[in-house]
Amino acid sequence: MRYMMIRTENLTKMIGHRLIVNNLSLMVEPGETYGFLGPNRSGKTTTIRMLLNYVHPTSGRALVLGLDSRRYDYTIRQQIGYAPADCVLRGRQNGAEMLHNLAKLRRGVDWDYVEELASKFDLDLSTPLDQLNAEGRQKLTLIQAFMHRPELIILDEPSKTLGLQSRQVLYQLIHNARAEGRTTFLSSSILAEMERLCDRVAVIHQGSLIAIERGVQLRNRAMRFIELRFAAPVPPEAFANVANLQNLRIEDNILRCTVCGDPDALIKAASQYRIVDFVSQAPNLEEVFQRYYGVKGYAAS
Amino acid sequence: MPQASIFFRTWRELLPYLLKWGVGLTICTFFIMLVTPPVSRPTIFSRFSKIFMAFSQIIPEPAPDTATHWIMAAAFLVILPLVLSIALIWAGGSLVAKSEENGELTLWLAQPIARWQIILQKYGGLLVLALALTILVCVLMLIYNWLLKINLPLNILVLGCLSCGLTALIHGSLAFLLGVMKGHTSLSRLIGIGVLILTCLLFLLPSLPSALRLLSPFTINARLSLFNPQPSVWTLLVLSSMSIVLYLASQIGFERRDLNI
Repeated sequence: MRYMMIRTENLTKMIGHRLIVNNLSLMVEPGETYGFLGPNRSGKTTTIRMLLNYVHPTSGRALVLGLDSRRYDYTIRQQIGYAPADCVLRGRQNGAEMLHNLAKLRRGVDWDYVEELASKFDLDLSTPLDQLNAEGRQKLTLIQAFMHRPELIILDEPSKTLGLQSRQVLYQLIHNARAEGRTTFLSSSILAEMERLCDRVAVIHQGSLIAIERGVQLRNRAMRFIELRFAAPVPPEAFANVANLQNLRIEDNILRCTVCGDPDALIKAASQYRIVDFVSQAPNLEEVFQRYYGVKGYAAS
Repeated sequence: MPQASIFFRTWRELLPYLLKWGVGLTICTFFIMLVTPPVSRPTIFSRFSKIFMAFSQIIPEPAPDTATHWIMAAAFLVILPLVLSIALIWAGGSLVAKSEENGELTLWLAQPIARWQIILQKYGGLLVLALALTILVCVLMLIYNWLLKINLPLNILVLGCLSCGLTALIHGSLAFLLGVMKGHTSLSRLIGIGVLILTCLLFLLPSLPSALRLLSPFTINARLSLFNPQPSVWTLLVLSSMSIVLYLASQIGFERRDLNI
């Protein structure tokens, strides 16, 4: 029987009088990489915790692998891998001991694959947990999430503390999982990551689902602040009719603007002049949210 | 059984506790039993009464032919639960809470292991620690009995030690429950010690109705060692069932709790 890898039905969580997750309904299909995008404190981690039965919903329900997450959490966890965000790992044991202990709780973990993952992430497994920095701890949690090649991988802000090289390794692992028909549920507050990795993205704000976008749609909505420094002053009219430009300002030889979507026209127009410096900056999520979804403010009420 | 690895991991954590408390208890026992100069029975009671009137509640006037060492052994059986309780509160308060604080619980619960299995194995660790400390106390008392030739009846001695261990287990279980519910080691230990002091006060207050005083596990111990020369197995069953209730409460509490991990 075909089932959704993750399905939530009006999932709601209240802590005291605070509404953390509000009537959230999601459907994640087998084999897709599904993004869960939202600013900090928008309810992403709480939703994941409800999927894993760490936290019980106030109302609604979550089905993972077609099973109720509250009743069958044990069965569900046999087939999933989970990497938490900001996991505090302390203790005198080293990474290898920790992974050995976790592998003992599962059957059939290939230790060669664990070592391969550690070498890809450039992580020394003999380092005691107490001596690992945030990046090292994140790498360790990612290894334990991938080590048994699970059907469903749930990653909560996995790249938050990772360096550039480790991020590439993570992206490659997600791509590989997708190629093997496995599903990834990826929570993040980084838009660029979602554009790059996900087939579909659920956008959450203050605990409520505000949109479900295709990865392509997100790419079209990409917004960049661009600053171009030319060798000599450029005429403003050369850029007046360039597509996808907003807030265009030209002061002497510096051009500043916001590009929404494809930057091709700007680059072609700018290529007529000699460029001495180029700065491209991604906007923060709040600006994107305000522009595209008309919502403001970060914290869940 | 792959899930049993949590039990062994727990034991690796508890081993230093056992060593520290075991050495401490051994030194204390030999100091109290062997180094303290023998004093006459009236001296003991006059000193106790002068220092703290409530001590007369703990060790009432025994029969005239009771040996001094017998009284000391019996008094020791009253003090022992206090020492053992502190040891088990210290361990019990940290068993689950520390795993939660150091992030282990987050990763364990990402593996195929049910919440009840974690609690069972953690509590199993506490039980083994309680048993090991009780056996140690029993051995120390036997050595004391043999060295001073006081002929303390073996059944009283063993049951006395068992009841000490069970009293301590109740306090350890309470700290364990608090650790499970709050996920905070220091807080669980602090409240556990607070409750221990409260139960001592319950036991010591002479004006308190006897039904309320029975709430203190120490009352049962005092009765066992002094008032009741033929200790009943029922007493041990009562103490055991209190521990079982606390264990079940830990299971239910952990199952229902939202984990902020």
